[in-house]
Amino acid sequence: VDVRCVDGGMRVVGERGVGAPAGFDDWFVGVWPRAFRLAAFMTHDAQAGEDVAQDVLFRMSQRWGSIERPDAYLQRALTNACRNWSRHSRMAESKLRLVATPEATETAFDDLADAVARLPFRQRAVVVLRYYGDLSEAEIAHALACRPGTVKSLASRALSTLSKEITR
Amino acid sequence: MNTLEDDLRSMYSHRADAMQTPVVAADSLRRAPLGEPRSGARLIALSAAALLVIAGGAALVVRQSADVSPADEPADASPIPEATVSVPTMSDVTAPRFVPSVPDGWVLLDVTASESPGDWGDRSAIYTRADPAARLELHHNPDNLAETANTNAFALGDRYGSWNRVSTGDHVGVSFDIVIDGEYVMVQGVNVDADSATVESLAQAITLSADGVPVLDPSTGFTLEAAGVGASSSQSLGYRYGRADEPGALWGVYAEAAPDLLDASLRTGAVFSDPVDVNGQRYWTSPGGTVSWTTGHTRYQLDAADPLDLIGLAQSLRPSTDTEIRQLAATIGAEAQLTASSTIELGTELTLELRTQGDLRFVCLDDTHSRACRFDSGENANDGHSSGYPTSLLLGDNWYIISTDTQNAPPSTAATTTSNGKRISLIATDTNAVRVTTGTDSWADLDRPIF
Repeated sequence: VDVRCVDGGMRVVGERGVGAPAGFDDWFVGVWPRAFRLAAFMTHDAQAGEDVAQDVLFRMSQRWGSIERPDAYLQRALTNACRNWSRHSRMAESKLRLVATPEATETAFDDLADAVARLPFRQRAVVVLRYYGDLSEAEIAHALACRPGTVKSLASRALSTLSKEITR
Repeated sequence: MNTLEDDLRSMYSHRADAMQTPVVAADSLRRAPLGEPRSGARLIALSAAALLVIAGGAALVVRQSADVSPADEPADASPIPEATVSVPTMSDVTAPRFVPSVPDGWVLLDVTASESPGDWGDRSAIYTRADPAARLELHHNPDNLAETANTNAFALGDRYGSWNRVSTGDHVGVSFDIVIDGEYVMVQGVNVDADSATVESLAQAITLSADGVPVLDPSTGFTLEAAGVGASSSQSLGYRYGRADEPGALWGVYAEAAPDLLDASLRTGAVFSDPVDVNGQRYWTSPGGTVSWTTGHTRYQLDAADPLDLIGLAQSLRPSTDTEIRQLAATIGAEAQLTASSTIELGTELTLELRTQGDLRFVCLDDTHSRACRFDSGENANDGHSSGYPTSLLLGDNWYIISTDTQNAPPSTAATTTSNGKRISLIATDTNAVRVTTGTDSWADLDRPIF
């Protein structure tokens, strides 16, 4: 439902989701798998990744006509949403295993994935966006709302930490 | 490419191939809006969304709270059945609520209830301004908030989709004022999954002086403390949010009441290079100036020759070799070589000094009995950014750990240790801000040279 403020009060003014934003559906089909995986890797949780990715894409569908660069918008929105999710997730305590099917589990990768999950969120996001998303520094900087130099710094610290973690 | 980077790419490639992507069609995405409760948090969110409508006293038609994942729903599934919910009166509301007010000069365009917690806030108000000079101030006051609350404000307008964002989420329990300058401003309210009794956000207009300096409305209850005077439990300082080299940097007034938030105070002071008028008094720091203020019973002082120095000085905290340390140790106190110094008073008996001598940078700690320093040649510089390695100093019986980072604070809970340590982190950001936190935590990484 769509709730709006009318004359100082709230009332239902319409059913959200009626009608498809032009062009959104085709774009959605193409980006959904990648959006889901990016979010899953950044949250270290497949269920959360699905939720976050759908949340973001749902909102984008509502604003579709105002979004000039949807791919960049999506990456930034996903990063923001995953960061917010991480703040509430108690990830470090739960030490969730990465979203792998049992048959795909490999001990070395598990250790590495868990080490990535223990990184501070921005470092983790840089790792995911760079090594899964294959984004450029400029693209990652836009997603994180920071300078490219900061991306380098975050990546450097992330790799340093990961090197120590996986050699212990 | 090194092995670790290869491993990361291989891992993600492998995992991505192994993952089963949930089947979600765009149409079903819209028909089953997110926030359908899959967890307790979402149930709370739905309840809070209903509470928003309570304010209007209207009956709300909501989607049934079936525990159905959109991924489980076939793409051609029928719409989820709807149910009509009667809502109680406002007097029954004790949960967080978002009360959008309409400041003078602004027009409230829209108020929406978000479906999902933990995302961009759960309720939003979008304003546009009738007066091009008007700016919007958001005052966020998370009373008794146990966890992070987000109140975000976005300047929209012609930069929609590439907005500036100010979030209070990083400042748990801190009252926070921000000023947004934009043709359209969207204020997104609190996260309802936070365990709070009362969270209110309200928007107020802020006026500008003739020369464009924002003037804080004293009715907000915040006051700036004069240097060296510390009777009040709260203070406000002007700051500018956003990168200095980008248009659209935001003015703001920071206010805090918590006694232990030195980090925010120092960050504020570090960027306090522009004036702000509070209660008729203009405050600012010119190069070489001093800002000092108090928090609770502790006085903090930051002497900044230039805000940019803080970045360079923060970089001094990178580790250096023993040889360099010993060579440079002899220069401690050689004032003739001193090219920059910033001093931060950490309580009444402890001072942190960040010093630069030519290309050499170091950090010193002084208490009433002794002084300890350590150095860095900067050889580990990473594109001009701090490395994030903590520097440890032993002063008296306490370990003091100084860490640099462009964003993230050191772990809030360090490894278990029996040392009676204290933790100090100095964090420099790209906005020339500096943040220092103190705590009673010990630090696990104490294997660096100490002298």
